[in-house]
Amino acid sequence: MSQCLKGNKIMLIFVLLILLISMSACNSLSIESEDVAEIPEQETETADTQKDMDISEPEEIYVQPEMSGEISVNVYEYSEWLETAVLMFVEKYPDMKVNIHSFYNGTDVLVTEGGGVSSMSSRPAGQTREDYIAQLNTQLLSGKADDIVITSTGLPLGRYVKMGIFADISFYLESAEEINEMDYFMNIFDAYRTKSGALYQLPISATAIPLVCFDKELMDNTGIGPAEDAVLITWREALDIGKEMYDASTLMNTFMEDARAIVGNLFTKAAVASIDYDTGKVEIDQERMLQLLSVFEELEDYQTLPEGFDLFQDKYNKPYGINYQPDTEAAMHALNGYEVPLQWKYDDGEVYLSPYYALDFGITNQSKNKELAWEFLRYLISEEVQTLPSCPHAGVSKKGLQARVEGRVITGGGSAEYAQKVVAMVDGWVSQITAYRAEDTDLIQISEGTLEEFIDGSLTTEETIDKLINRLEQYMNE
Amino acid sequence: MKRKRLLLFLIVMCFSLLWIGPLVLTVINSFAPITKGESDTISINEIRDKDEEGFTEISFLLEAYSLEQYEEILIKTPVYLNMFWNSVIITVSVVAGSVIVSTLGAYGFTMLRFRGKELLFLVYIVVMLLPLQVTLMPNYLIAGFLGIENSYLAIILPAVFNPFGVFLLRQQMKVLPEECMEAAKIDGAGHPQIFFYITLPMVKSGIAALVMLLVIEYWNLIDQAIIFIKRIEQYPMSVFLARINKEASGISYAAATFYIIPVLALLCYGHEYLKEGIGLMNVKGR
Amino acid sequence: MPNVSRKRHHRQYAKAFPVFALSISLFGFSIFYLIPFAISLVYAFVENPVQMNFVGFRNFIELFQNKFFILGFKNTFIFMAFAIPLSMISSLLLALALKRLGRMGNLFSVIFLIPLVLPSATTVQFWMGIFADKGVLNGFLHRFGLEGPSWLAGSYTMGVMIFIYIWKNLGYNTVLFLAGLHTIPEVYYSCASIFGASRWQRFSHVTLVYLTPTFFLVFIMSFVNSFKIFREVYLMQGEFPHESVYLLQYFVNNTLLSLNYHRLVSAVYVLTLVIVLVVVIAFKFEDRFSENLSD
Repeated sequence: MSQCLKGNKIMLIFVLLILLISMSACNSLSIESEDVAEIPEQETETADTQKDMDISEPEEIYVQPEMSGEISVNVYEYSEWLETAVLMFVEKYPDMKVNIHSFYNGTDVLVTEGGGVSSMSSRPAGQTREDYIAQLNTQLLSGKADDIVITSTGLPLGRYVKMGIFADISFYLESAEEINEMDYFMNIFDAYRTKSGALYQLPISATAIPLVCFDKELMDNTGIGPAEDAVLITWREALDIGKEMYDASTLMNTFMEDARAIVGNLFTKAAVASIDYDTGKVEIDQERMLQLLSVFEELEDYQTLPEGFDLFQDKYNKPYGINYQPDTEAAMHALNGYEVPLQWKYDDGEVYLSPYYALDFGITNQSKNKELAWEFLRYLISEEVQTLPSCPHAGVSKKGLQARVEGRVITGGGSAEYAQKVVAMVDGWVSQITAYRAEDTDLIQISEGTLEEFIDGSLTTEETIDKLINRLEQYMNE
Repeated sequence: MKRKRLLLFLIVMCFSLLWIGPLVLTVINSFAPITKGESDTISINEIRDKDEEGFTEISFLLEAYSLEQYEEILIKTPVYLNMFWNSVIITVSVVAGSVIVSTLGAYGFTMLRFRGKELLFLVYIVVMLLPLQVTLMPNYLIAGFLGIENSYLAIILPAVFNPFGVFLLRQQMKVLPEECMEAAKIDGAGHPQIFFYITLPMVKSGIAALVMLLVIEYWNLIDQAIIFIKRIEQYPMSVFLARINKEASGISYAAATFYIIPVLALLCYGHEYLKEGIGLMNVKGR
Repeated sequence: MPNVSRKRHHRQYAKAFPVFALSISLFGFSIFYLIPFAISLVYAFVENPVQMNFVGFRNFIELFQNKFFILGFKNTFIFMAFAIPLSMISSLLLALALKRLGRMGNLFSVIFLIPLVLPSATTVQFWMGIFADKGVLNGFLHRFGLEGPSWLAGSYTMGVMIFIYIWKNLGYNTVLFLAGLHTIPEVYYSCASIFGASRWQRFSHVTLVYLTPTFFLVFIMSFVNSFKIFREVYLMQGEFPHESVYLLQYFVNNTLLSLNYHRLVSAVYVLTLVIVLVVVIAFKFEDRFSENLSD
């Protein structure tokens, strides 16, 4: 008899214990994040910041923290440029320790005090992006994520921002005096801000603008082309000119390959734009989509790829109707004299240009070393680092861009003058970046995937749009 | 009687072809030369070129034979062997720990009587039903509290205490006749003796089943490994095999074959025990 | 009960061992299973898993307005309703057959475990080769002049997935049944024969009855395994499956990837509630049966 009661009592105590423990576990988590969400800079001397540019606030000054401590950075794939930057950083501040966790390479790059790197790189075991996100999410949910997370490798950013994963760094940015209009492409920073003016991702580098290029050879052959002094062109105009050139051409191998790429890009943009993150609703502009999809029917009579064409060998050797250059490196090719490049202008008249490839980082709200993390990011956009030849894309520092473009042109055999011209041109492109959306890679993949099925011929236009809507809704509802 | 048995045998044999098929195909393919860069297409070499109407056919003959795949795995890149041993370490620890904990736990459930016992058992079952995605994150948290988040223990410990073992063995123990236990007690045996000399031998088949099923489950561990293990060198092989399409699809067959052989061998060895349950039952003599 | 006092004294002293035995399991179970369960339960009532603001039952209400949850729930329900009984019956039959075959039978049981030992990617490739629109099965039908349907993207898809589930788990359940069968002491059978029971009576009164705990076990494990079949379905159908096979596991898997842990948890608990109801009924059923087992 007594056994029974004893057993029962024990059970009771047991259950209570469990409830207590789990409550405290959750509590500790929530306190942290609540704390952090409302008062992001609790550990520093300054108070919180949500708005930008409002100097009439009481003096909050940013004081550089003592540069000793440890921060960790989470990246999907390891890059040498990052390693170099870290090494330089640690040399400058010998009391700092920076750990880079690279998922794909499965290594910890441990940079110890006083410089020096210990790392073991080995072959990746083939993990996917989903695995990375699963691991990262687990860390984020349990409060154990790294201080800095790279945000330009296909994370569901829209969601993360909405959930308050990242810290608002606009205050830090504004307090950094060396980051100003003269030396930096401030438009890129502004482009990354959310509607309310908060900044969650710091762009380290962003690359340029879609260009539309017309092949000179074809232009000479047909006598048709864009206007002499044209700088901007809409896709519709470009397409029409391309078709005219194709029709009139006497050359054997004309084709219109990239016309599709352009439409694909627009299709994706429209799909992504149809999503409202706050309500989770999907509102597709059906008309626009149909219009875009009908272009593919238009192009059916136009040879898209000539027979026996090897894309890798022959791409720059055949005359083509229109060509489309999405990134700086390729765009600089366009200045080779074989093409006439024009800057793309969106239909609605507004020059809405967003970075195509970019490198940006965010500081997690859970981080206990936000200031140190900021200092590291600040170093990444400093001139020293941005002038390194291995810095990817166009960078955000004007001087950095200048140095690298010059370097590349001159090693390529160009003259200093020409280098100047190129610098001015690229500078002009990058200055045009005005918008950026925390576009989820998932959304892009969904729309591109659906479009591919359409191109394959397995779907009609109506089916494509329906499928697209269905898939987007699935994504938003899960 | 023999006739019927033979018939049964044949039926089961035919039936089992559907199960042997994939294994045979995998092993055959492991002797094919490494095909590079065909990750988008179905890379089962043996599904040969379609016939005129374009249907795929299975053929058990390859176009070329080679030992390249094995060479690559065993000799050229030692990291695979490394991953193999990681799997072994994890699986063996899990099985050993789980058998101990589960036999004890099941015994406790069977022998004790207290109010709420069945309720507790029900809780065991219900919590076991929760899918991995739910418990993974809290487990990560707890591993953090315990400080084991970067070691295999974070995977092994939850596996060892998996209610499945207790569940399985308790169901087995339920069936055992109480007379044996009573007799032993009258003879002066205490619980430990009963446990070791009577209960355990009688549930041997249950333990065998547990071992086999645990091995199968943890030899093919993937999800927990992705979350908890940070270094490539520590990954078990199962993760690599699961993601094979991305990287080295050419060697996946040899890797898979190599990976399966020990398990199959173990299972073959273990199946003997499946039937050893009640041999000792004839203690009727008492 | 005779000798109560003496037995009880004996029992009290020696009871230490079973208590100890159970506590080990209980201890570990609490830390690694119960507490995580409790922790995750908290998240079901939260709006944002990062900010942790409590919103009561809102998640559950939203869940039932989420058409994908409903779809997944419905599909999973249908799947389980067919797959689990079919799987159990077929493995019982197989286990009986294998037991009959004695030694060879045990060897065969290993063969049926092959799908669980092979990596999923391999088995999926195999089945895709068979069920694809231009696959082996349709090719076979073609020979007879029949036009095979789309097995992987049509109304048969659910059937195909159920088939694959049964194929994969047959070995697992058979092992459990075999273990259960072998644990039934021979004595019971001999007793029954002595009392003049026929083959069928021996089967229904000894085998089936004493298999009840195993039945329950296989039933539960079938649930657990039907969660796991998600990997195969995912590999075969991709991220956007045919709507008849959009299982709840898709929902669960994707909510984790999009950091919507609160949705994940609430969805799982709704499903679990349903399963628990079924389990409790089965449990009561089994309990009644097995009360007199040890006699």
